[in-house]
Amino acid sequence: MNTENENQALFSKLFEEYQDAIFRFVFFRVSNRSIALDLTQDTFIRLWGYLIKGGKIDHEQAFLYRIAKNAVIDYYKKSKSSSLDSLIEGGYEPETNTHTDEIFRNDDIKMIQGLLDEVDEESKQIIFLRYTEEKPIEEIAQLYGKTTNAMTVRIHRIIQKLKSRYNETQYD
Amino acid sequence: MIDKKIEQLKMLKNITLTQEEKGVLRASVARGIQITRQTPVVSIFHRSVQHGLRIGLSTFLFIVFVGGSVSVVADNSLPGDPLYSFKINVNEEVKGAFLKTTEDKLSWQKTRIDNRLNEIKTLAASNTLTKAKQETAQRALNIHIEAFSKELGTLSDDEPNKALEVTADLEKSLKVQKEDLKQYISENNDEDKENALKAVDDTLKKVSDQEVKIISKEVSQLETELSEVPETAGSEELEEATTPPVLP
Repeated sequence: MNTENENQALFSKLFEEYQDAIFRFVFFRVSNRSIALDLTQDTFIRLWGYLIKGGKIDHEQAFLYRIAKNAVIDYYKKSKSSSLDSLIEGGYEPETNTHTDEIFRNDDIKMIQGLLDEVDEESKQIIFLRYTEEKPIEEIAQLYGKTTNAMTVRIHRIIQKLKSRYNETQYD
Repeated sequence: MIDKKIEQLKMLKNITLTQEEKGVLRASVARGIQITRQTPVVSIFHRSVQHGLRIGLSTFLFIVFVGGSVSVVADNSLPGDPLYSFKINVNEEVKGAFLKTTEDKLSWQKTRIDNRLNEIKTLAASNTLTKAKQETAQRALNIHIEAFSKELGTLSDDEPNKALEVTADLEKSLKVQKEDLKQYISENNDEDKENALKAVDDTLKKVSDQEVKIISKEVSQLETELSEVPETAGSEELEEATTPPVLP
């Protein structure tokens, strides 16, 4: 079990190092800054809860992404009955950010996002980690509890799927 | 073709939290942790967990206020500045949320009262104290006085003398503040600055009221104790004292 001082030091280090990456990771999934900020907060509170219970972390980065992944899953479970559309109808106004809006206006990004909407949740996250965060395949494999070879094959298959979907849209 | 397009996903790496969002995130994580801390845990390890959290949160608080550039900028803001509300409602609230003892909480509220008055003084000195700014500081001041009174009530139950010391201390500091403000007012007399002086007077009055309340409470407690003493109490000692000793 970590000592109190070790927990504090580890928490501070992870918070400083990964707040942006975790925010991006969840933002990529929920496409709303306010919700992404809430889920980032939730991720770090869960991390702290784990640390003070004496939890041990072997691979910090992978562990944080796993918590964030679960936070996103929980968010979708909870929000099934209240979609963003219904929130907006109820008067909720999502925050905007000019810089982010600009990125999302890029045609390629829009197109890739459209294609990714057609693959499963886990595949989206894998693509994000590999191509946005540029994580090594070994790390992604570790996060999803797979071998490096299995993850290499998985990424290849997702790309193939996106490629074939892309070709279809070109002929449509 | 698609491979090149997927490469474009790298652009998403440019999405980062703004400085303001980072400040909000730090503050809300600190609050979230604080809530976790307050959740009762029925366990023999309860005590040590609380202790661990206290130390952890202190360190985290350090990060919140030293590491967060928004927090730092906000700390120097004055009434009327865009980050002033952040300073009062996030920075200072979070800082106060981690204090455990009543004495610490009282001392923190006193610091906040002093801060507000210093802000009024700074604005008055630079001739930028408007009615709106004065009202903003006044609103915060009222909230701090209320919080101070609440904590004082708790302290006066257990240690009335200490509570009186604390009020006397605050009173003294308020009087100094008032004298300082008077100087600015005599140099540049106008209505807004008069209002600022009134703010200090109101605060002083509220503190005196608290003092009176503590003393009244003490007096009434003393009266109750006295009324509970039986009238015959002490008569034995009196009899003993007045009876001449029996000589051998």
